[in-house]
Amino acid sequence: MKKLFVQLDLCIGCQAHSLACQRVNHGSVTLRSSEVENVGTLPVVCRHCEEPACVAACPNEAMTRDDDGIVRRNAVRCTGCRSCVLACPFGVLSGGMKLPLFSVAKCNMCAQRTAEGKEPACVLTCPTGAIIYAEPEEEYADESGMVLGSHAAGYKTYIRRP
Amino acid sequence: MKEQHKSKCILCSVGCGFIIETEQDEAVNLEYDTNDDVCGGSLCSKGNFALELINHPMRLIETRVGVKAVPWKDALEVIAEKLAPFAGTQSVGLILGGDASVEDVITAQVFAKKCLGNERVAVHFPTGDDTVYRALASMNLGDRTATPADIEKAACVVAVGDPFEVGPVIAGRMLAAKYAGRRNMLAVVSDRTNRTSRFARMHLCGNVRRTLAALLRATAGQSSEGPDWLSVVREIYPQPDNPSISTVAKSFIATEGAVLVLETQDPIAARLAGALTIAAGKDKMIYPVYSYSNVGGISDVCAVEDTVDAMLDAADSGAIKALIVLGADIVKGAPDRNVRAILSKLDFLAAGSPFVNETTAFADPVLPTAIWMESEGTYGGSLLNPVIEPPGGALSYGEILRRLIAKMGYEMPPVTPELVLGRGEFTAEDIRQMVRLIDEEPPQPAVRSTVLQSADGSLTDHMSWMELQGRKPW
Repeated sequence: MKKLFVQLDLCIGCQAHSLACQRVNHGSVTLRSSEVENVGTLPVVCRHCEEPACVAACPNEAMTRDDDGIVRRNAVRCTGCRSCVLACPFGVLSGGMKLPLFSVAKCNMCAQRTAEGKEPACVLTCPTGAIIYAEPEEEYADESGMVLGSHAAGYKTYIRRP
Repeated sequence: MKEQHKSKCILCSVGCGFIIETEQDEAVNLEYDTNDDVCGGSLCSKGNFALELINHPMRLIETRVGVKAVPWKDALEVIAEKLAPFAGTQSVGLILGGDASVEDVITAQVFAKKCLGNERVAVHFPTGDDTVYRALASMNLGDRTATPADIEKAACVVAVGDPFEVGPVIAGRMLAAKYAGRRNMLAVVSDRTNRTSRFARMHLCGNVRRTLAALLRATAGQSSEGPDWLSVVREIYPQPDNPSISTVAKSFIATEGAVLVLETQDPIAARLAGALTIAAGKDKMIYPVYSYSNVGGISDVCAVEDTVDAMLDAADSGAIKALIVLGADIVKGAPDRNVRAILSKLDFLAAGSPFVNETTAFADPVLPTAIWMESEGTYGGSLLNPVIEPPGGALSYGEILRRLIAKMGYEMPPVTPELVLGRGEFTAEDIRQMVRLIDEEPPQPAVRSTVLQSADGSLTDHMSWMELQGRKPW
């Protein structure tokens, strides 16, 4: 399954990904930016975890991890309690003020675009190619089997730390 | 069935291509053009919202005189009638927005000359890019202008200012050049830490004019051949003792096809950068980044160098009594002046704009105009075709003026662009003059019109000014 990777040494913090995400998702920014002091603004992508904390935390089973490995939010079931926002260890989910009440923005890896054979909007729009949509070639795991990082073809290692 | 139309972004000089998808005469989607030579599909935050400019809820969709919506014919008749008494009195000004095409500017000059009997035409560039363009044009650097592909191949890139901020898409090319080899150089000359300098191998931080002068002196000291004025440079500039300056100069001279990426609002710094490119060797190139795509085209055909500031001064003193503003929001574009008070002194103000803005709020009549994706025009050296019909029968700036010329009883001559460039050479006297100017206070940076996202999801360019003033917009 293809995943989103961010090469931090290429990111210039232009936030074009957020605006592209907002454009294709009719106003809700599912790919957030995080301001890092004295470094800049970097994209924060959903990891689509193997054991997602947001799915476990959701009281209404609105969050599900599908067979294709994408963690999705069911808009009908979601009551906007924002338990998933609190549970996410990466701070990826948001229930920001720009969204209507009873909703949470959740990246679905542009499923509507990938179904048409297109790449996700954030990947295509990135001016420096810092966001990559690629198959993880190799995964690094510690002794307990927890995946610490993965490596996509031709790109540097992107370490995921819980 | 969706139809795809290729177009180009004009919101900075990089000129990224994209595809607009239309369905039943409505623009429904913007798609990334992965085959585009310039950007390869990438778009910055401005380009991503090109579709929103077409479908913006604040688009002007009717011609208005007073509070009444009237047909185009009646509105143009009112304007022709009101302007007739002012003809030949030098008291009518015409201001065009920076998004005008080359044809629009030529028509505006014909309109001013024929119908108004004056040469009061100004194009509103809030960032002062036109002065930088003219400074470079006078140095005859045409054959040294780099393309994005040249930047990607260059093993040494010297950036002046913050090109990553103004044209983020060019950042991809510059970083690709930097990471292509272990010893590749990305040097940044700027007066503060900025987005570009974070990626620099060497950041020459300090007064931009003095740093460029020092680089020019170091280059003149290291290159044996070159134009005559290099001896003047060696004579009058002191030898820099900073080893970083020598390293960057050495790398710039030694690297074949090295590129200087220039983003500045200071014409003196631009001339120094141009001189540095010439001094470093025949294969060195320069890539200026401007905030508007069509700065070059407009400056080439604009025979008069009137400015919006001068026109506002004239309006303030009563020398200008009537004003036509097409596409420029001069109230928001000059936030350091009390433009509202100046406009209220005018006898007549007509404004055309694609959107409802603060200038159209003062104007009568108000005309809806087309944006670049809705009309034909030359931008940045290439002819762009319309991708969709404008809403409410809006017309391009040039078409409005052509109809006005006809209304006032004249015939529009065929459009032949006359290139009005500088004298096209660079002499030792220029160097002496630059030495005098180098210690002068550089012009205050203009308020950059950055497209930002406001709380309701619409676009605004007002926040950056408030941020500069230290006031938070929220």
